[in-house]
Formats: sequence, structure tokens, C-alpha cells
Amino acid sequence: MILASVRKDMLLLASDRGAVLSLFLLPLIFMGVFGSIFQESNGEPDGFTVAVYASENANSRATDIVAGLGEHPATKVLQSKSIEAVRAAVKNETAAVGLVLPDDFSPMTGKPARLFVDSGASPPERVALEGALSRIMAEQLYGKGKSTLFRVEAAEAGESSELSSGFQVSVPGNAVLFCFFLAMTVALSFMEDRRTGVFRRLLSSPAPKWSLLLSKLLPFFLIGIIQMVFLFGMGVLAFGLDLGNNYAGLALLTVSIVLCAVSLGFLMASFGGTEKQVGGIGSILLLVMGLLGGAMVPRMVMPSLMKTIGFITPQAWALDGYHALLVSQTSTLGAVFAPVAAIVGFAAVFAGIALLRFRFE
Amino acid sequence: MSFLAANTLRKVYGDNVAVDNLDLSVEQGEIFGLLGPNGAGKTTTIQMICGVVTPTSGEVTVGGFSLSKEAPKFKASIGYVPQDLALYEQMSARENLRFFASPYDIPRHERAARVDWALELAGLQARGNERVKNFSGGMKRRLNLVAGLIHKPKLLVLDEPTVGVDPQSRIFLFDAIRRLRDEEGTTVLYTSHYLEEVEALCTRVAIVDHGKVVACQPVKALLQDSSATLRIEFAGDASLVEARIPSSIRYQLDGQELSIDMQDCGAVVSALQAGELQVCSIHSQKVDLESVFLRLTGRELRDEEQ
Repeated sequence: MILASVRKDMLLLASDRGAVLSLFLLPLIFMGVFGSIFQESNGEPDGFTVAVYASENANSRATDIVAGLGEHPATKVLQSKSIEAVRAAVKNETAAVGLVLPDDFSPMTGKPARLFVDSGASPPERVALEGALSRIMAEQLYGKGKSTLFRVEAAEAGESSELSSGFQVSVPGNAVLFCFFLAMTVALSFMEDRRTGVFRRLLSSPAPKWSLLLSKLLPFFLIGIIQMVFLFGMGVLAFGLDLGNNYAGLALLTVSIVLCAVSLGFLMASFGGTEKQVGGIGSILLLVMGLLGGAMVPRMVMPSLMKTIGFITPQAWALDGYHALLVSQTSTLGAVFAPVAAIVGFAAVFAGIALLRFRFE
Repeated sequence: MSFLAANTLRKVYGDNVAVDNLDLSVEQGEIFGLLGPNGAGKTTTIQMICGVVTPTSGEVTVGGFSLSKEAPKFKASIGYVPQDLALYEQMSARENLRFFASPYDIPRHERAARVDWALELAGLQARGNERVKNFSGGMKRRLNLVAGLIHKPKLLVLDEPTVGVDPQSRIFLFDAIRRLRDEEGTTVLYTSHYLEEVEALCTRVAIVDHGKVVACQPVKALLQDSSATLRIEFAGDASLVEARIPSSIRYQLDGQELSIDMQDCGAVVSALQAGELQVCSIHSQKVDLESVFLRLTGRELRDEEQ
């Protein structure tokens, strides 16, 4: 029954041009457009200047950071005499980014450095600067080669590194946005089976209800996985997306996102209504969730309140996870633990409510 | 012991009693009709019999298997054809049949032959690989029927299978049902509010109204026991009718026309004339299930308003 359902839903999906368009082709167009916009505004060719302030009383960690930035091929240090001077250097674009190191600089014990970034900078520019600086600082603190949190390379005058930085944001953003649109496909499929009497026919068969539900949900889970593999694959092939080296983290995060999208679809189906209502309300809901979650506008450019609000959506957790994997290039599984746990939690809540509410009839 | 036995079936939705302690028994190889107007409770009844709706109380057995105790075996014995076209229109007829066969324990090597058999029964052999969306309404109905018997059930339950069907496809469906009964020994439970269908197809019929069986007899016996219906056209104030006709007499009032049993003719005519209502004409009507239903329930079978 389950295999037959998978086959059936694959056939139905293949014949549904609207679903193919919204799940596979539209995200590609969005990725291309947004990635190009980010790329256009990402203008740091051969490394960048960092305005740094560390007082004479700064501890050795702070002075090591300054020295490390000076030696690194990707950064040029502009020593500043005050915090205000750092701020001014960023403001008048003498420096791409400003760094203020407190005397008792110790990030592990809650004494972090302060980072100044031009508020007019594009999201990918900010991502690149923040990521690069974090990497260099981590190398200084924990030793080169040991830190796997970030990776940065001096960008050559060519185009590839610039392109990839834009698409490192747009590919996962749109993949997450459109993966959650799978929820609509799931909900509409449930409602169609209810309307046409297919559920009634199947309920009269010997298949138990749990088997009918699994047969209904599993095909969409597989479709979601295919969708994400396709979108990230196209991201690599067409847009030069760098997947990093944490494939296990990537797989774990992606599977949890698809699971959550399918659960959300099940929840939407459990609220009943007509297919038209679900189509209308569902689209708005998913767009708002995507917007809050940073799938359309990166969360890093949002005000802190919006960033916090974003955490009520699984999309925000998903994109934080992809940020850690694709932008910060974190190689440990622990880096995606919190996002995966949160997303699986959302999936469990969605599925739990749906199970309580859902009626085949 | 009856092949299908429904004992004191009851279904309550909130304050509404949809089916009220209904008893039903159908013998093996019988084509049994369940007749009643919309809202009478027949769809709920057959959905409980098929395990689609859980009864509030009561018990159903098919071929000795109890729905509550041996659901998988019970359900494997049943083929349900819902009133709606429960098909995937984007898939071919063959793909639909393959999918709807999947919940049943049909040996792998028999599946293709079973699909061919069903397509042949539906007269769709030549169009098995065509998408259902390209089919006519009648072809879809035929496919809808055979999708419910792909596993060769012992009991076939049909919920108004001829809604929106052209006469040719209706004849085809009837032939297929009779063929199943004759060749496979299939027992058929057939619901309809088309009287002529039940008369033509069924050996016995149960008339359901307000969730209860009001009569259950062989069709011929039911018709023999009934007198013809008379339609009396009268002049005068129709609102007086209720006050004039004795409460023991069942009648149906439609404008200036009364439908009554022939046996009540004398009493009704006298009552109308005594009440200053003038009888204009009296027409007799053939004895059929419509008149039987009217006699038993005081309602017209196709009166959806009630």
C-alpha cells in the first residue's frame, strides 16, 4: 500500500504542472534573481579593511587578534585611537568593518568584541564580513586549523567567490521558503481525497488508519527530499553554491525541514475548510512565515526584535542552521543541533495537533 | 445465519440521530435494495456497514466476520463503491485500479490479470491506459464501480452508483452487477432513491426513513400488498385540508392536489366535500415503490426538503 501510494503521488505530481512549477522551477528563478541582486551589491574585491581599537591595557587575546588581522591576507588593519574613531571609519567607508576589543576580551566568558558594520551594507556583504572576521578571530583564539567554525579566503579579483557569497544566502533561503510550500500540496491532497471519496473507499479496505495516514504522508516526505536535493544540486551546478564539508549536518537539517513542512501540511488539512480556503489562507500563512523566518529577507538585516520574533517560525531555525553550515562553514554536527531540535519540535507539535483534530471524513 | 447482518445499528451526531437501532439482514447472492429519500440515513447505514463510519452502537457481521472483532477479514470481504467518483482523474484507469487494489492481499502474480478483468467488466479494456479525466461521466461511473470490486469482494455495497449516469451506462452497470451475482456469487447491497432501479434490480428492499427500517420485503410482495395511489385535484382553500381529513389517513398535499391511498378514497372525498372543498378530478396511479413509500411514511420519496 505504501509503495503504491508513493508511486501514485509521484505520478500525480508529475502531471500537476502547478505543483512542479511552485516546488521546483519557481525557487530556481527566485534563487537566481535574489542571488544576483546580492552579488551585485557585494563589493569587496581583495580583502577588506578593518578599523580596530584596542587600548594599551588590552589583554593578550585582544593583541593577538589585532596582530592576526594584520598578518592575514584578507584583512588590512586600520589602527584607531578610540571607539568613535572606529565608528567614523566605518561610517565614512575608510574601513569595511570596525572592531572594538575590550581590555578583558574573552568571548568564551561573555566578554565579546564589538563589531561595527555599515548599516547600508548588503546582507551578503555583512554575512561575508562577519563570517570572515569571526573565522580569523577564531583562528587567533583557538589556533589555525583547529577551529572549524569559519572559513575565509582572500578573494581573487575573479568572480567565483563573489558569486558564491550571494548564492550562499539566496539558495538556502528560497529552498526553505519553497520547501514549506510543500505543506500546501500536502493539505490540498488530503482535502481532495476527502472530497472525492477516496478516503471513504480506502477506509472500507482492510488497511488500518495509521497505514492510510503513513501512505498519505510518506510520499510527500520523499517528494520534499527530492525537491531539496534538486534545489541545492542546482544551487551547486548553476550558481556555484559551496556546500561546505558538513554533509551529515546538511542532511540532518534538510530532513528535519522536510519533515516539518509535511507535518505543517497535515496540520493545515486537519483544520478542514474548502480547497480554495486552504489555498488562499495557506499561501498567506506560508509567505508570512517565510518572511518572518528570513527566507525572503535575511534575518541578519532585521531589527533585533524581528529576529527574535522570527524564532516562532521553523524557517528561522532552518536558515540559522544553513547559515552555520554554508556561510560560517561549520563542520561539527553540534552546530545544527539547536536548529534541528527546534525544527523537529515544531514538526512534533504540528503533527500532534493534527492527529488530535484530523478526520478522514 | 444471514450473510450480512446489521443488528441495532445506531449513529448519533450531536443531537441528531442519523440511524436509529436499525436491523438488516441480507442473504448470500441476494441483490438487496436500500431505499429512502435524501437524509433518511441510508448512506450513514452503509458507511457503518463498510467500516467507514464507526457506529455509536450496534454490530455488523459479514460472512460470519464481525466488524468490531475481526475488522481486517470483515473489510476484505467488502467492496464499497461510494456515491462520489472516488478516482484520480490525472491517472489512467489501469493505474487507478492498481492503486485501489493495493490495500488488499492480492497475490502479485494475479494483480495484472485482476486489473484486466476489472477493465473488461467495465468495458474499458481499450482505454485502460488513458487518463480518467478524458472519460465520459458514464465511463467514470463504470470505473468507479470496478475499483470497488478489484479484490473480488463477497459483498458489494453500492451507494447510489447511477447518479448522473446516462441510460446506456446505467444498463451497463446493471448488467455488470447481475453478472457479478451470477458468476461470482457476489451479494449486493444497493442504495438508491430511484425506484425504478430498485424494482428492476433488487429481489428484496428495505425502506428507510428517519434512520429506521419502515418496511423490508421482497419487492413483488411489497407491491402486491399495496393499493394504488390516487391523486385528487380539488378547488377551495387548501389550508382547510388538514382540519378536514381525519388524522388517521396519510396524505401528501401539493398545491391543489392530494395524494392518498386508494383505500382511503371514500373517506377523503367525503371529508373534502363536507369541508366545502370541491373535488375536481381523481386520477389513479400505478402501484410502485413511490406509492408504497408514500403509504408507509406519508412522504414522497424524492422530496428532499423533508
